[in-house]
Amino acid sequence: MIQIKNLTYGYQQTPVLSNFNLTETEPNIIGLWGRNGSGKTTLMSLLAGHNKPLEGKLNVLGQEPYNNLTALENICYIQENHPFGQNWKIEDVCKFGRYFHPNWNQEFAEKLIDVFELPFKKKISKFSKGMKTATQIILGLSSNAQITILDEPTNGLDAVKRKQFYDALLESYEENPRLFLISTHHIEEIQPLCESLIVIQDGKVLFHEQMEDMREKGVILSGNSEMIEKVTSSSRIIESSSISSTHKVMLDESFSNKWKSIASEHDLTIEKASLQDYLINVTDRKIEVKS
Amino acid sequence: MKPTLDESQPIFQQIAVLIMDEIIDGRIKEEEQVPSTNELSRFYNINPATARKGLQALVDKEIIYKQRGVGMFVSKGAKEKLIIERKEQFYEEYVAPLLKEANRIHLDEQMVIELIKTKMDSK
Repeated sequence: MIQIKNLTYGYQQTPVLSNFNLTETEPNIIGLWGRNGSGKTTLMSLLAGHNKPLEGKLNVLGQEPYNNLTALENICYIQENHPFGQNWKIEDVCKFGRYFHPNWNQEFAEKLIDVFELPFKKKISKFSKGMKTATQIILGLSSNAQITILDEPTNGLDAVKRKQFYDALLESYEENPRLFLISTHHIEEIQPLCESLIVIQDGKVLFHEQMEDMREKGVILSGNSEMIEKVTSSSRIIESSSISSTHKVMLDESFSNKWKSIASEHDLTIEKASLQDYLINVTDRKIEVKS
Repeated sequence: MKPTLDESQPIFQQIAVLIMDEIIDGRIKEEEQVPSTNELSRFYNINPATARKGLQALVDKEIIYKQRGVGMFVSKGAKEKLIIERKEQFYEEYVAPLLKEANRIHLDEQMVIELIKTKMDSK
């Protein structure tokens, strides 16, 4: 469904993406995580045909999306601050969706307008942040596009509305399994929904793995510092801190039975790092930690 | 059914465990239908593929079986089989940590046994 080969994009001296490779063949809900400036937004806008690659191949549903209206019928990219017309109301968004996306699901759109309690009479430019995000969600999910890209889809939504979004996403995916690419900084909440995760750093893919495997990454050991030093000599330490005589490290390892037995043999406490903490530490370029 | 999932183990395993708990507790009986992939996916807000994997693990263990086009059902003898399995795990899961903590706070064997007896009697 998506095929990117040796793609480069940006300015010659400072490319945003360079030698970028990515393949997705199945309908799937995929998380996209990266620090600010890692190249996430650039990737999404290239997939949506907003920009033309400098070098390399970019194929979405077998076509190059740039300047290609037929390809774009099946791609829906909802930007973080999606542009809407100054005088548009929610009905105009539906009209727009119907016009651009042949598989537009009006019934679902109306149901979501009801769920998110959006007013028909108010202009979108006068909407609150949360209402605007809900509008974007409605456009994204109702488009029924084979490739649906959502950039930070829960921005400004309260907990209740976020839950309603997750329900709507699963319902929509169940009805019509398609490829969702969801970029988020809040990975903890969205991770159970995703089958796989793509992590981008410095314009390259750092991870592209099953979410289940990603969840197991990051081992936190604490205890006597000599013991820790002894068992972690061949591991990459991505965070370390101390309190009184206790030392604590996070390792770039999987939370496996091997590590559990190492910990119990050496009288160390072992815990699994949260995915968010692991990703923050593993993408930190400044860490050259001595244990 | 447990209201939420946690971080303790992979999600698909948690799905398998909570269905097994339902069977052991008799809330889903033999030959009764277990929740579908989509029901689990919506209830726990998880990816359907993950829910499917949890159910598949139980199919592989022959705890539940598929009936094409209808759904999944609890196998005959599943409850008994699960109870035997849990009994085997009882030492590792419960007694070993109990003894470890007892040792840590200097409770000797006699005192631990005494404690269990009095608590069990008062039940």
